[in-house]
Amino acid sequence: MKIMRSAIRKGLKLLIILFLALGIMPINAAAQNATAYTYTLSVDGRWMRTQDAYLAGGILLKDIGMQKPEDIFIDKNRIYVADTGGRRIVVMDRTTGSVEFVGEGLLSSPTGVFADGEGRIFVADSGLEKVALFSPDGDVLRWYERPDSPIFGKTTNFKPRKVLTDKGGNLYIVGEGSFDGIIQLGKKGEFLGYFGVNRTNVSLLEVLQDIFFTEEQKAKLFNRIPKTFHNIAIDNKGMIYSITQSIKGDAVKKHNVSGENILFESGNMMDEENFVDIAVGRYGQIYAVSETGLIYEYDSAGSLIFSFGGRAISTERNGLFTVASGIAVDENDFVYVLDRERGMVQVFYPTAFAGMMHRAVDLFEKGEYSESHRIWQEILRLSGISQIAHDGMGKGYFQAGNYEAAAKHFKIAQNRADYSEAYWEIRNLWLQENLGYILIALVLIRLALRLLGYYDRRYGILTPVKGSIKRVLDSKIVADVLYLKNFIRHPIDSFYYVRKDQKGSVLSATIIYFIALLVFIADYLFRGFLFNFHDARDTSYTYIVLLFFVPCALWVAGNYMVSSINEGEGRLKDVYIATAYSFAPFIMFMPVVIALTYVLTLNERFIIDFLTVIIWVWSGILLFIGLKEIHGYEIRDVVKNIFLSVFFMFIAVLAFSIIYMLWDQGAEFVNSILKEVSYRVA
Amino acid sequence: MLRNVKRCIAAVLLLAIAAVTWTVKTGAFVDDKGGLPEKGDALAAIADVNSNRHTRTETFDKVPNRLNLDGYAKIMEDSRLEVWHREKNASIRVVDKATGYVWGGLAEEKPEDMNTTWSGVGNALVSIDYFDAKGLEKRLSIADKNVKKSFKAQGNILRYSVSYITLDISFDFEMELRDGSLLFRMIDDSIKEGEDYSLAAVYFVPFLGSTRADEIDGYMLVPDGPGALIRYSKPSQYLVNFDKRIYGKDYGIDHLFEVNDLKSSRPNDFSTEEPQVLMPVFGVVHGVKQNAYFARVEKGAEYASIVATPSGIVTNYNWISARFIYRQKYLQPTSKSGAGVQVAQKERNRFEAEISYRFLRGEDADYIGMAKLYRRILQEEGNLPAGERIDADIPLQLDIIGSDLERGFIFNRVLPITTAAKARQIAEDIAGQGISNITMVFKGWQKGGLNGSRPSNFSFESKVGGKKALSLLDEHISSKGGRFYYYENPVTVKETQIDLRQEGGTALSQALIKVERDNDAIWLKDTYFVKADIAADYVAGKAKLYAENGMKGMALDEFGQRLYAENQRDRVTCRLDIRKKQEETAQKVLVDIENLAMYRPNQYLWKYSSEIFNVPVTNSQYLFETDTVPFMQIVLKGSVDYYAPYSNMSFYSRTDVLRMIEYGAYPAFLLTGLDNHEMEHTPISELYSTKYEDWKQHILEVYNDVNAALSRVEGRKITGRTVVSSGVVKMDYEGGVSILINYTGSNYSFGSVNIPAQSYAVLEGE
Repeated sequence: MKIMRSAIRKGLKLLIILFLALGIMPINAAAQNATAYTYTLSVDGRWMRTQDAYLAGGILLKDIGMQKPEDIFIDKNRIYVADTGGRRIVVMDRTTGSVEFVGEGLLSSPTGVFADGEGRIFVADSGLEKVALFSPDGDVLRWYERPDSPIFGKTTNFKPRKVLTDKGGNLYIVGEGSFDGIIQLGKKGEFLGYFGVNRTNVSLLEVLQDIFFTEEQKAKLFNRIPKTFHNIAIDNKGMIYSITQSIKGDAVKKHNVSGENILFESGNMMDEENFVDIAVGRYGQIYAVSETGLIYEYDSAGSLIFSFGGRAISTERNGLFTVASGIAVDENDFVYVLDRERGMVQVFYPTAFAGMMHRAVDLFEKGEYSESHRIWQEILRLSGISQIAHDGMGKGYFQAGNYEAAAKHFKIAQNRADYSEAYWEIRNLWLQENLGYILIALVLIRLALRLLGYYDRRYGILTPVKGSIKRVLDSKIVADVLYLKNFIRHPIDSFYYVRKDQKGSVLSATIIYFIALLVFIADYLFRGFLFNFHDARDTSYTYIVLLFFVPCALWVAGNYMVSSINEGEGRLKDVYIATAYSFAPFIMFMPVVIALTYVLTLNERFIIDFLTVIIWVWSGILLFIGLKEIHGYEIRDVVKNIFLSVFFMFIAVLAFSIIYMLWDQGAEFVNSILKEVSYRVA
Repeated sequence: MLRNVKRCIAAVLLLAIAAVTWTVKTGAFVDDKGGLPEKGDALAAIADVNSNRHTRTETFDKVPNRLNLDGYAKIMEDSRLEVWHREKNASIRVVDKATGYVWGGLAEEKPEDMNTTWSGVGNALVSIDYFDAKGLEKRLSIADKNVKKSFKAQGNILRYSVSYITLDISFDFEMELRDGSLLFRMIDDSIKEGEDYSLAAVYFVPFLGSTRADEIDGYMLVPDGPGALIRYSKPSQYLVNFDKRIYGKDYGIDHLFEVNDLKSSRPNDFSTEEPQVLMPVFGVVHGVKQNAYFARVEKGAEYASIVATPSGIVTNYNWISARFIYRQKYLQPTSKSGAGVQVAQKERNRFEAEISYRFLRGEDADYIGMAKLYRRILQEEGNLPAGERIDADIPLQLDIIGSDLERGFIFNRVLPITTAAKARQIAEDIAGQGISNITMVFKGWQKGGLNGSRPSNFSFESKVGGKKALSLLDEHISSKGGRFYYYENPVTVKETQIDLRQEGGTALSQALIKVERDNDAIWLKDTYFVKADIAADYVAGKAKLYAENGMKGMALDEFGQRLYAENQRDRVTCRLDIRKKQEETAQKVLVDIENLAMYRPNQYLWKYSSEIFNVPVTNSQYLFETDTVPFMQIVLKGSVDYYAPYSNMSFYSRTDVLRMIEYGAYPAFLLTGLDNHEMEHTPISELYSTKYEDWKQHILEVYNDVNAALSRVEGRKITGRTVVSSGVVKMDYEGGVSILINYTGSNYSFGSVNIPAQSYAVLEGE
C-alpha cells in the first residue's frame, strides 16, 4: 500500500501570521552553542524550536576583500565563489586553505559559478552576457554566447546569472528575464530549448479581469508572464533543482528530464518567497537559503526537516547573515553560506542530532525500516514533538504491521492520510474478529425488544413510563419543538400551520436555534480525528457562536425587510420561526454524520461529504418552501427574495467593516493625541 | 620569542618526566549512538574548535614598548607605577616600574589616520557624550580647545576641573594612584549643565591600552558570558561594537524591541538571548604573559556599560572602556501599536562613578592572571561565597516542572506535569544507579502552576501533591544527601500571574515593561515584569513563610539577574537602589532559610548563593569575538557549586560534556513526568524534550563522565589554563591536579599521556 503524505499542512500554514518586530525574550531553556534557534514543524503543524541541528564553525575568506559576491559552489577539493564586485572567481583549496583568483581582467560581473567533475569552471557573467569556461588552472577554454537559433527568439535577452552542467556536458543557464524557462545549451553551445517553465498562476481577481476586460485593455494593463527562475542546483544523480522567488508553496522544484516538478510536497511546501539559492546534499536533502539568512532543509520529498540561521541586523553574530546570497553543501553535510554584504563564507557543521535525522531519512528511503525505526526513536527522545519524527516512526510501524502503534504516531503527527490507512487496517481486523458477536448482539436486542412489547401489551408494564413521557409531550412548548420532525415528511403543511400560529412559537424557535447551535459546534469541533481540522483550544467560543448567530440574525432581519417592501405577507415572527424550523434536517441527521466520522476512514470520505451536502441542501429546500408559504410567494418571487436578502447581508457586513475601521482609526488618533499631551504636560 | 620556546620545551620535558610517576585516568568514551560517520565527526570537531566558542593557542610574540614619554611630566609615583602627565591634551602615560612598559592612549598627539576630535578622545583623560539641543548624541574629549581645564595635585590624588565652554557643561573628577592601581572618580555634585546641552555619558581614559589594528599580539577581555577575548586583527567594517550594560539591560529604559524581520512565514524570534555582563570588569593584554591591565568599575556599575571597539569601526584602533551613563534615550510611544519617538532622559542619573585600573606583568599578564586577581579582590572584600561543598561525588541538578496552566476550550486548568510522588520516583531511580548527591529544584509547585501562580501568593498546588507530598519529597532528597529547592520567579510573569495595574513594572515612558515574543505558535507570548521593589518584598515575605512551613531551600530565578528601575511617576526606585534592595533581600532571606540558590546572578549576589545554576558557557559569538574563556569559572571554582545549562536543551553532545569538565560546571537537566506532546497546550509547549524516561540513560552517562573528572577537583581553585594545542586544553587545579580535555577528533599525546579523541585525562600529583 502506498503511503501518502500529510495533505493538511497547507491549511495549517494559515495559522502562522507574520510580525514585524522581534522581542528579545528572556527564557531559561535557551540554547547555548547556537546564536539562532533551530526550528522544525511540531506535531500540530506549528513552528517549534528543537535541538540545535547545525552549529557555526568558523568563517572563510573574510580577509580577501570580496565585494558583493553572488554565488558559491563546492566540489571535493575546492570552494568557488563568484566575487561579483571584484570581477573575479575566488577559488579556495579545501585542504590547504590557499586562495587563487580566476578570470581577473576577463570577467565583468560574474554572478554564477559551477565546476564540473573535471574541475573545469563555468562562470555566468551577466555583464558580458556570456558564459565562460575555464580550465581547472584558470585558463579560458571557451565562451558561450547568445544562441543565434531562431527558436531562442529574436528579441530574447541572454543575460546569464547562474549556470551548471550535467554529466552529458549540457549547460543549464538561468538568465535575467528568461520567462520561458532555463536556457539549455549543448556541449558546443547550440541551443537545445527551454527547460522547465513556471506556470502562471491565475488568481480570482485575474479570472474576473479576464471576464470583464477586452484583449486590448489586458495587453495594456497587465503583464502576466511566468515567474523567472532565480537559481538552480544539480544533485549527484543529475537531477536539476530550481528556486523561484515570490511563489509561496512552490518555490523549490525538483525537475525530471522533461522539466516537470516531481517534488511530492509541491504546492504545499513550507518555503519562503525570498529564497536566493539552493543546494542538494548527499542523501538528496535540499537546502535553500533566504535573502534574510534563513536556511531551510528539506528531505528529498520536500518535507521540511529544519529551519535555522537568521539575519544580522543589530548585532553581527556567527551564524547570522547580513544578506545571504549563496549556499553550498559538501560531502559531510557541512553547509557553506555566502554573505553578500560582508563578503565572507560561514560554515555550519551538523550536530549529532542532524546526523541522526539524515541517517533516518536515508535509511527509510532505502526501505530499511527497522533500522531507521531505531534512529527515529532516538530522535524522538531528543525532540519529542517533531512532526517529521513521528511521521517516520508511524511509517516504520506501519511497514512492520503494527497498526496500533502506527496510528498512534500518525495521530500525534496529525498525518490524517496515513492515519486513515492505519485505522482502516485496525478496523478491518476488528471487524473480522468481532463481526460474529455484533450479529449475535443485534439479534439479541431485537428479541429483547419484542419480548418487552409482548409483555407490555399483556401486562402494561411500561404504562407508568409511557404516562410520564406523555405528560411531558403534552406541554405546548415541548410539542412545538418536537414538531420539527413533521417538517421532514410534510414540510408544506407544517409551514402552513406555523403561518397560521397553530404550531411553533418564538420561544420554541429560539430553543431550536440553540439546539442547532449545539449541533453546529459539535460538527465544527468534535468530528472524528480524520474529519476534524479545528482544535477546540485554538477556537474562541465567541467566534463559533458568532459564526452561527450572525448569519442567522442577518438573514432573518434582511429577509423580513426585503419581503416587507416586496409584498411578502410574513411577519418578522414568521421569518424567525420558519428559519428555525428549516434546520430540521440539520438537527436530526447531522449527529448521525458526526457519529459516522468516528468510524469511517478517508476512503469512505465521500459518504461523509455526500451526506453533509444532502443535509444542507435539504435545509435549504425547506427554507425555500418556508419562505414561499409564509410570504405567499410564487417561486419566482422566492428566488428574487433570497437574492435580495443575501445582498442585504453582504451590504450589512460591508457597512459594518467600514464603520469599524473608521472607528478604529479615530480611536487611534485620539489615543495618540492623548499620549502626546500627557507626555508634553508631564 | 626564543625565551618562550625554551620555556615551552622545558615545561613539556618536565611534564613528560613527571607524568611517568603520575597516576593517569582517562575518561570513558561514550559511543555516540546513531551519529555521523567517523570522518564527518572528526571534521565537525575541528569546525567546532575553530569557532569562537573555544580558545585559540597563544603565540607569545614579544611586544616592544611603542609609546614614549616625550612632552610628559611625572606627577605621581608609588612602588609599582609612575604616572606621567601632559597638560596640552590632558593625557597620561603609566609606566610599569618592574618592566618599564609604558601604557597610554595614542602614540602621537594626532595620528595621520584620525581626525582631531578622535585624536582628542584617543589621548585625553576624559571624554564625554552629550545631547545637543536637537537631541543628537555627540562625543567630545577634554583635549578640545573649547574646554577650560585646571588641575591640582595633592599627594597621589590629582583633581581636575573641566568646563566645556560652548556646551555649558562642567564637572570635576579625580585620579588617584593607590597601591599600584590607578583610580578615576567623578565628583557627582560638581556636575553642572546649562540649558541646551546635556551630559549623556563619561569615559575615563577611553583609549588606555589601545592598539592600532594588529600591530601587536594581544587581546581585549570582555565579561561577555563566561568571558570573551577580542584579539587584535586587521580592520574590518563591523556594524556595531561590543557595548553591553553591566548587570544587563535596564528593562525600564533600554529598548526591548529590535526590528528584525526575517520576511518569512516562520516566527521571527530566531535569535538566542545573548549572555549579559555579570561582572563589572574588563582587561587588556599587550603580549600574552607580558603586559596587561585589569579594570574594574568600583562604583556606579549599575549605570555603566562595557564598550569594546575592534579596529575598523570609525577608527583603526582597538579600544575598550567603561561608559558611565548619565542620560540615555528611550522610546516614548505615541501610538497604541508601539511606534513612537526617541527622547533623552530629562533627569540625570545620580551616582558615584569610579573605576580602577590594575596593571599586571609577566606570568600574570593574561586573562587567567586577571581572573585570579579578581578572585583575590572579591575574596578579600568578602564577595565570594564561603566555599564549595565537598562531597564524595559531584552534585547533579534536576529541575522538575510540577505543573503548569493548560489551555482549554472554555476554561484553563492546571495540568499536573510531574507530581511530587513521580519526582520522588525519579530521584529513587537515579539513586538506584548510584547517584545520590542530587540538587533538586521543584518548579510549578505553587497554586496555579508555573505560569499561573501569583508571585504575591503562597500556597501549594494540590495537583502535584500539595504541601504534604512536597515536604516528604524534600525530606527524602535531604536524607539521601541531596538538597531540595522550591523554585521562585518573582520577576518575569505572564498576564495570568499578576494584577498588571498594581504590580506590573513601569518603564520610563510610563508604559508597562513588556517583552513580546514575535511567535504566534506559543501561548502567553508576552512577558511582564513585576515592579522591582515589590518583587524584592515578595521574596523577603516568602522566606518568612518558608521558615514557618519548614522549607529550607529557595531557588531564585531572574531575580538578581534582571536589574531594572521602577519608573512609575511618584513612586520611582532607581536602579542603584534596586540593586541595594536585592542585596538586602538576599541577606534577609538567609536569616530565615538555609540555602538560597540562584540562576545566573549578577556578581553582587554571588556571596549569598548556595549554588549557582545555569552559568554561561559561551559568549555572544560576535564576529569580532575570537575566543570564549572561562574567566567567570576561574573566579568561582572552589567557592561555590555551579552548574551547566540544561543538558537536554541542546547541551548534550560530546563536546558539551567536555565543556562541562573544562569549565568545572556540574550537569543539569530539566525533567518532566509527562511526554512533551502532552504539554502542547501549556505555555511551556516549546520545551522539546524533557521526559525523564527519555533522558534516564543519558543522565547516567553524562554524570558518570563528568563525575570521574570533576570529583577529583571539588573545592579546589583553578590555578592555570593552557591551550596546549588547537582543541586541547589543560586546566590546572590546586594540589597539582590537572585535567586535559581533547575536543578534537583525533588522539592527542601529552607527554606519556594519551588522550583519546573527544575525551579527557586527569593527571594527579602524588
